[in-house]
Amino acid sequence: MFSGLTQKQNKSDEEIKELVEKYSSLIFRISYCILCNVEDAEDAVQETLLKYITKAPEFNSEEHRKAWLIKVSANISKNMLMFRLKREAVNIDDVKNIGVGEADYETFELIMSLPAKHKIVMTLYYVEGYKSKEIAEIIGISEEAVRKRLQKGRELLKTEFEKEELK
Amino acid sequence: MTDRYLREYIRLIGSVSLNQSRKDCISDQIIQKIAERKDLSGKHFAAASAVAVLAIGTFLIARGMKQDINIM
Repeated sequence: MFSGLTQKQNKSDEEIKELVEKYSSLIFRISYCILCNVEDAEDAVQETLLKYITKAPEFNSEEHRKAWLIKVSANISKNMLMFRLKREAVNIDDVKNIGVGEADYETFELIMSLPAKHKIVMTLYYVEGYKSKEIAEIIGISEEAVRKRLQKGRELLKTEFEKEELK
Repeated sequence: MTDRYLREYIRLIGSVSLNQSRKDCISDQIIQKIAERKDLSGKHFAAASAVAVLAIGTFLIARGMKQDINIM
């Protein structure tokens, strides 16, 4: 029967579940850094994986596949952000369900208040373990810009923590 | 040296993840959307086939009429 999807794109329900199991948390982390909203970040996970299934791109390695997923999820999240009229604050009720403990809410809120462009670079570098050169390729900026964003991000983080401690 | 602010950042952002029920929910939604796309593609194919059959039929009728006129 004609289905509009090629055999490579035609994934079984089990394969889809495996994909979600394997990559959803990584994609969610990246999207949440940009969107600061659980529901929107979940939508971005869904859109990214749908795009992956329907486009069925070829990859030479697992790292290449992950880099593609990060790039696409960041672009989808940035597009979603453009349709928002105002930036939302972190919703504490939502944060309970994404692995952040109650004792850490204030610190988490402080971290999430950093600009998205710094959070993405810092998350890829410090949390996901990518090198500056790899981050530059993934998000499409120069290596120098990655290093500057990392430096600025660290400074902003320190300033925010120090402000909080003075209160 | 990784300062303590950075350690907090790594710990908290690293802990952000989706729980199993949210993952299941996302899987179900993706499966449903793909099924809808397949259904829609099937409908588009049926519609395109009908249009093609009509176009060929119209062409054949028109050609037949032209031949009839020439005979007369």
